[in-house]
This record gives sequence, C-alpha cells and structure tokens, in this order.
Amino acid sequence: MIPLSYYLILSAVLFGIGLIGVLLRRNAITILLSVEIMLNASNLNLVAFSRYVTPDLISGQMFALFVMAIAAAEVAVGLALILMIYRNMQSVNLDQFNIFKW
Amino acid sequence: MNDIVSQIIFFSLAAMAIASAIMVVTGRNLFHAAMFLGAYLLVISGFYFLLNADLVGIMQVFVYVGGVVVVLLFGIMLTAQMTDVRLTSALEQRGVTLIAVGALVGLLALVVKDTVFKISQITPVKDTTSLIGKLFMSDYILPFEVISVLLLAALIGAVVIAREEGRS
Repeated sequence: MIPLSYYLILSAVLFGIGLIGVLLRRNAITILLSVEIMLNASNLNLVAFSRYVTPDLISGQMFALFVMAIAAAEVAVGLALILMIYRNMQSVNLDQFNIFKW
Repeated sequence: MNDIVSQIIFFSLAAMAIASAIMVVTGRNLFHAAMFLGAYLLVISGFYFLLNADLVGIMQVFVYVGGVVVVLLFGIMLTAQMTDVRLTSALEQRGVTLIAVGALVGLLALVVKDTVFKISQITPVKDTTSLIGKLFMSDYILPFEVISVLLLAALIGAVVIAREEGRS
C-alpha cells in the first residue's frame, strides 16, 4: 500500500504550484484557475486522510463533497465579478483594478 | 491490487497532475490553460478512485469537469480579446515568491515526514454511496441545508452582479 505521506507531499506540491499561480500571475481568470488547483490539492488531502486514518467513518469524503460545492459557488460568483469589471474597464489585468484605491 | 501496480498508478498520476498544474500556471494561452485544468481535475478524480472514494471521484468528474471548466470556458470566450493579451507577470516579485513558496512546501514535507499518523487497518467501506447518502440525511443534515442555501444565494448573486445595469 502507498504510504500516506506520499499523498500529503504530493498535495503540498500541488498547493505550492497553485499558490505560485495566485501570487505571480496578473490575469484574473488565471488566478481563478490557480485557486481551483489549490482547492483540489486540499481535497486530495482530505480524501487521503479519510482512507488511511478513518476508513470506516468517511468524514473526509463528506468534507471533500462540501468543499466541491463551495468551489462551484466560488467560480460562479468570481466569474460574474470578473465579467462585470471587464465590462466596465475592458481589461482583466489585476494591476489596472484600482477603482477602490484612494 | 498488488503493491507494485498501485505504486506505478500513483506515480504516473502524480507526474500527470504536477505537469498539468504547471501548464495551467505558466501557460500563455488562457483557453489552453482551462483545458489543462480539465486534465488536472480528471487526474485528481483518478486519485480518488485509487483511494476507494468512488462517489467523490464521480462527483469530481460531474461537478468540476462537467460544470466548473465549462463555466470557465464561457467566461474566457465572453471576454474575447483576453485570449491574445500578452500575459506578463511582475518580474521583480518572481524570485522572492518562488523562494517563499518553495520554503513553505519544504517545511510541509518535513512536518509530514516527521509526523507519525495512526494508520487504521480496517478495510474501507465498500458501498460508499449509500453510506454518504445516509450521513447527509442524519449527521450532516445541518451543513447540507446550509450549503444548499449558500449555493442558491451564490447563484442569485452571480446573476445580479453579471446583469447589465439600467435594464430591469
């Protein structure tokens, strides 16, 4: 059987890749994609713990399903916000989103 | 499934997941990035099947590959000239960010390596679908109801935000 630590290290690496995307990219939609990568990495963690630590009560899988629902809501609202800002400013570059700056 | 086969499956899935995640983050074309995100999500669902979580794996394919990626593609196509925008990142931040994220991942790996987890030897649940259904209607009934209200609120909010102003 594959050790649990392999899954944990893999999901840490995937989380790091998503974090690099969020911090370095300037396109709002790319940042949304990177957030999805991070959410899936944490979901992998939850399911791995559920398989190895409590295989009989599958609470980790329940949490993974809840995280999925939250992620779907997040994408819908995030895309609506990006579309509205794009309509107003003709750009999705985060460096130009300074309408709240004073 | 014997040990060596599952290890081969794990490592090939891991290589595919890391490669497609890197392609999403570094890609210059947004459309291709969304497609690679779809590939990444499929690979993650492969991990769920490897971990005996069949319902979560199926839901991953339904909700993410069938829903989220399609919505993201709509968003990319509706903001049309974005696809050929030169996607540049602020160069002066790159070194510090890579060092910080690398340090975080290294720290997490060290912590995982030194922690002893209580690995249970019980055989995992075979029929996860019916157990998850029962749990949704008994132990997790409150979070279930809350999340349905949250989803409704998010959908209405998305429609209200994205609607063009001045048209009622």
